[in-house]
Amino acid sequence: MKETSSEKLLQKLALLEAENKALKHVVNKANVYINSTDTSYVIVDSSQDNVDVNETFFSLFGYTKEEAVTLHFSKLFTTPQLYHSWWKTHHNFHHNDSVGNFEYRFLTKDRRIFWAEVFGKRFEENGEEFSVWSIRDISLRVHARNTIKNLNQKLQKQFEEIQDILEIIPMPIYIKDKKFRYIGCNGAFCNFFGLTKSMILGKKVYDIFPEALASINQQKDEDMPFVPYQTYKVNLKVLFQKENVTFELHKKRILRDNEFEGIVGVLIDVTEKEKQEKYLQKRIEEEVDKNLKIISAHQEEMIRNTKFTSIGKMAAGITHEINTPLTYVKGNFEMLVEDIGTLPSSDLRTTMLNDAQVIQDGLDRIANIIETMREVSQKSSEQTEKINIYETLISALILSYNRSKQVVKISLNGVIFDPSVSKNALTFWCNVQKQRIEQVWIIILNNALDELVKIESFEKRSLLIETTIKRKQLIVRISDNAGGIAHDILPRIFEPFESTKMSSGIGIGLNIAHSIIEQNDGTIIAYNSGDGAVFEVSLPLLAQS
Amino acid sequence: MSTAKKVIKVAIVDDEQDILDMIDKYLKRSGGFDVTLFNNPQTALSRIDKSYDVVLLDIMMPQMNGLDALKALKEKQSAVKVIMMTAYSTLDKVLQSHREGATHYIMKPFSSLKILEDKIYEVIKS
Repeated sequence: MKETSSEKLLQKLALLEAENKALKHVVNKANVYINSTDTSYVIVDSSQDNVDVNETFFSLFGYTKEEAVTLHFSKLFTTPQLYHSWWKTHHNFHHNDSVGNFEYRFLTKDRRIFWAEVFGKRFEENGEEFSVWSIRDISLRVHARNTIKNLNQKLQKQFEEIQDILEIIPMPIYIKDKKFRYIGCNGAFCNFFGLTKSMILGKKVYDIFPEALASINQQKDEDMPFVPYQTYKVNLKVLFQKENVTFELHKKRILRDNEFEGIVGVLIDVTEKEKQEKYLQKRIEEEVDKNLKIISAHQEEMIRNTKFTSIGKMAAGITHEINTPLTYVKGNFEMLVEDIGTLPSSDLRTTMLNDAQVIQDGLDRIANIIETMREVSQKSSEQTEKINIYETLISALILSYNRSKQVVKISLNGVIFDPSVSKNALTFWCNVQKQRIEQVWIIILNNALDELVKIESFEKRSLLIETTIKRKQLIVRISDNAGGIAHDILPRIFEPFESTKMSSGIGIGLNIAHSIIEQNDGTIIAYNSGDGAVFEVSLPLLAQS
Repeated sequence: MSTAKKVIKVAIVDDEQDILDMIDKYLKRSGGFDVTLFNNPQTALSRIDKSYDVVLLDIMMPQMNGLDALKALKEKQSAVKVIMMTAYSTLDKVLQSHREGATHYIMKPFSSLKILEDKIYEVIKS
């Protein structure tokens, strides 16, 4: 019996040992599980005093086991407020409920703050209430999340800035995605086409623009994945605008990770530029044309000059050859007319005198033409030099004196002219052809004398010469009181063959005077003043005058 | 005749005989002139003396430049009045002849022979 009961006891003991062993295994397993996780577990009693923690807690918070189990749960939070917030939540959940997914900032023993995710569940043991809390460090996750958030904000800001910049740019700009849908544009783009952003964004080119324009755009867009840049000109009548506009479209491909992402397009209005270019082109053509004309005119001028030179040489010879017989033809004819005049009155005498007048007119005309030819062919090759104009004036006055003294008292700058006057009493330095300028004074003086002799009384005749300086120009004014120049001749006084005078002096026309003054960079004008004619010659003075 | 005004002794120097004859004829018709004609300047220079009042001298002659003739004449007979006759001349020639002592000048062809006559009287008076 004893054996039996002891055997039973032994069996029971073995069973117990086995159970104990199994139990120990479970406890060990539980310990391993609980302590080998990255989550720290804290069990707190109803007054939130820590009762138990797992090993992870030590490494996470830095406390020893002794410190940890005497710690109040509130000490784990960074601030009392945070603890109270947790406490409120803790109180509000019911028995057996679990709470989780809360994120709090916790504080380690060495005051390091970290973000943690907290789960909690209540339970009862021996009639006492406890709660178990798992605390997992999620600092990395939160940090990553915050970084992403910051980056997003930055990105948003940059996007807004880009948007602002786009708005500032006066050129129409748009952005299309890889399916060629408008995903962005600026105000200038809207204004250019008279559309609103809502009418554009999200749309394709076919949805907005006329077929013809859209199909070109679409075709060109389809090349964009394969080319980095594209530009071409488009001429169109802008919607809601009447004028024809030409713009240059510049497109840039957007790539992301080497994949086609879309297009940025800029429209540059080149209407004005085109107009300018066309205008410039036209101007260049005009200029070239003009220059060609000038060159050809120069060539003509050169040919004409060459001709004139040879004609001039010939004319010089011819005039001399003609002048000699003309002299005795004229002279003998004069005597012939005189002889006819002595005949007794008869019809024949009258007829002969009338015919003689016609012949006389013809001879005078020939003489005039020869004279003009002679003067023109005589175009001086005299060099310009620094000359005192006053001296040339005195020379001319002396030369004319033989005649002038019988016609008029000449007043030079308020003093009656006398041939003994010093030629250098005044100095007006000009760069001119000396003899030709002297010739001008003689022409003007002779013209005046020819007119003045028509006034009966010597005392009533007046010839004034005045020299003045005005704006670096010497002005020589020669004025008479012989009745002035006929109004019909005045506008053409300097034209060839306009002289109506039969001069007894050198007899050179005012046309010669005019061309001489022009050749010497001066001007000559004639006008009537008071009861006579005024000839005014201006010549540029040299700096030292 | 003794009360008649003094006869003016004129020498005409020109290489053109027709011109010499014409002036001679005109002056003789006008009266009051004693005219001698020279168809070359060399002869004129050797023959013209102080008895001459006026010399009409062509500025351009084949035998001798009129200006040189003028110069030579004035050297010989400084008192004689000279009127230069110019058919083809430049102003500088006129000015030069003035400097060389010519008293007057007349352009060929003459506007009228009357003017030539007037000029002779003019230079006599001056």
